[in-house]
Amino acid sequence: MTLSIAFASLKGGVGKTTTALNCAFAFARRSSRTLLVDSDPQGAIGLSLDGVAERPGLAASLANGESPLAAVIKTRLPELHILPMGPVPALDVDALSQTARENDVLRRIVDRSQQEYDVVIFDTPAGLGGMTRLALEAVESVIAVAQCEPLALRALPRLLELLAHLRESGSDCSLLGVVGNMSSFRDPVVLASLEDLWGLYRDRVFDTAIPRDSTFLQASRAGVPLGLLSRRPPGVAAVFDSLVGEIEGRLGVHEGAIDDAPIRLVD
Amino acid sequence: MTHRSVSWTDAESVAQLLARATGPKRAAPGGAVARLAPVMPAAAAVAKPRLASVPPVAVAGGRGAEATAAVPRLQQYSDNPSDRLDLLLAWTLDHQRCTGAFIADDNGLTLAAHGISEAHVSLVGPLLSALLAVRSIPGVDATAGALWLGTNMMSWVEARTHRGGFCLGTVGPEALSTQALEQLKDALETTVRGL
Repeated sequence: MTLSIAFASLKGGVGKTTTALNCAFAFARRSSRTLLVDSDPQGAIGLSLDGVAERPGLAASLANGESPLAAVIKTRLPELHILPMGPVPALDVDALSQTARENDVLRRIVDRSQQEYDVVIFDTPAGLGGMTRLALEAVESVIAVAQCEPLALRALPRLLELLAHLRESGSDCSLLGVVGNMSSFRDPVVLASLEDLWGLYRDRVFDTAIPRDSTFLQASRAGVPLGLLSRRPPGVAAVFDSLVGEIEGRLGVHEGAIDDAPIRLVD
Repeated sequence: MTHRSVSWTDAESVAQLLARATGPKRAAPGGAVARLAPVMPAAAAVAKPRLASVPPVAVAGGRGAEATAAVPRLQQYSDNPSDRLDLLLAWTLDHQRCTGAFIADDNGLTLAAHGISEAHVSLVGPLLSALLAVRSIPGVDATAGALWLGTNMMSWVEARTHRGGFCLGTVGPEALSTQALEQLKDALETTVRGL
């Protein structure tokens, strides 16, 4: 069965897009057929990837009445496909959400991905309404992205409230976990925020925290995932392998796999 | 000056939100709201049980064993006994195939209840007393079981602490499975361990 995961946060600027993009890359590198869907009207995934920003995407498919997967882009990794949002005129953002809801488009993306993909990942816009809510209604697992700073932590319970209400209304979505982003052990406020995150959300917090690192800016400038920033990926790219390993563990992805035994180094 | 965490967030409310926002799907649209919202404080539980007004709900949604297997372990974060009991009750109603649940001490005094009738509440004391004699038989544990009530099945588990025994029970269309009883026992022990 295809896994469906949304990365969400009420607060903006916490690193949802970076986390979703690099996790999608890590899933694909681990041989999972992965579709990364940009549900952000801002087109944040497209803006993060060189060569994608101006391509027509989900918004155009929706406007033209095409299949929601019509604008899927193949990438250098055969296992990774991307469905960008594409350009959305500033005055059409509200209409986009409305049309998406009327067409139940994000749920249809999940439904139509069942044969072709192992994982569908949604990057969502900041906030709890519009496309974010649609994404949460469409997926089974939600990962809350929390920047390790006070304001992001104060906003986090609001996302949980929305999830609780959606579940009580019959949605399948469930909080898979909380990932701390932009962590640092040098800044006392960031450290206090991390401690608060662990204290409050305990085993729901992923052991992997994404560090604040200038390499992210370099990748952003180049418009690539961390893993493709250079021929030898920067060390911090491994953080997402670790995070995806935890995600797979929580979802029981490889439980009972008969071909997952240790591999001898020397024959 | 009072020390305040950077998140300004109350641990108990987060624990309750996490309980509502995680775990397997709630099978009955709307039903869970009705079940969760009125989880009563212990004192009000006996005086005002809401029971008969709650229709039978297939909590496991017919998925049976798979749904039971996916039940998350109850996590208790509060030191407040009333909050711990309320969370246990909410967890039970959410994750077990039942229409009502109760928590009682070994004297049969109901500490918290939701979705069971006065008549069912009154059964708890005599039932636990009767089991004392059963337990005197060598090799008989009798700390979990089920009782047919005619139209419903009552299932229960017990846990012992230095402060006495506690009982967690459910009422539903069928008796709980052995696995479900083990989950209840684990949840009850997790709850009363800190009381």
